[in-house]
Amino acid sequence: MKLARRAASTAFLAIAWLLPGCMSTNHGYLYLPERSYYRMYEQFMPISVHLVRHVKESVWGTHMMGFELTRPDVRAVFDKALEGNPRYYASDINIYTDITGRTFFTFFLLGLVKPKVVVEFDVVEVQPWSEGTPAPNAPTGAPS
Amino acid sequence: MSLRRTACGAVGIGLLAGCLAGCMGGASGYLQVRPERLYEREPLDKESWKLIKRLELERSAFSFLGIPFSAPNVAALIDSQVQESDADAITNLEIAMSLRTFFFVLGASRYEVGGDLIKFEKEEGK
Repeated sequence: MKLARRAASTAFLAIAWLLPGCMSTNHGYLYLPERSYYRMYEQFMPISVHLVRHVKESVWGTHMMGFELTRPDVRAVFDKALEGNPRYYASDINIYTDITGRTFFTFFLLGLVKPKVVVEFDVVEVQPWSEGTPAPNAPTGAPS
Repeated sequence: MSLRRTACGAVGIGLLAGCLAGCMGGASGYLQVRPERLYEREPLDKESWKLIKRLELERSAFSFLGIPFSAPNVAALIDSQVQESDADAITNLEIAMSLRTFFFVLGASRYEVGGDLIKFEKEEGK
């Protein structure tokens, strides 16, 4: 009886230990902000654009045993970068989720995964083109 | 004694390698969702909108032995939500995807969608 109980508890421990280890997880985050800038706008709008700054930030989430505890706040990064000026737009947006180095913890800490989301983009200021400001790019590939 | 210790060490390393291999078990997902009613503000755009409500929805999909037997069309789902809410478009769209595989047998993916459902405000005199 004692042996059976010990075997059961050992089996339970082994399963509890191995299960998160064998459970692989993948996460991905996508965000499309309202103020996204594309170079093609310059082809059909009289605008001038200049780079304000480059943003690169990492935000973290937390998952344990497959349950999401905290989600990386990707939107907050954009909101913070674009606030204060309605002419600020996000350009060259690159959002990358990395969990490679963190799945190791699944082995030790009951499936703890810390997805790291790297958010990278340029903040550009878009202004109506007027005399005295740098000329907008000339259309390329247009028939002469 | 030495042989026993070597055997224990070998078994330990084998177990550790096995568990780590489990940790490395791969899943991959590609995220590209651009619904038809997505709104992005163009430069010089004077259009204004009001927020109808915040959209929050979740969908799951499953696969068995690597064969998916359900997969949500997230873009179509968002479009239908926009229509049902009597909104004109969705903006500030965010999607979180997670994909889990258990012992390479059962796969479970989950999509959580968030965004602002908006209605355009018409200018007076138009």
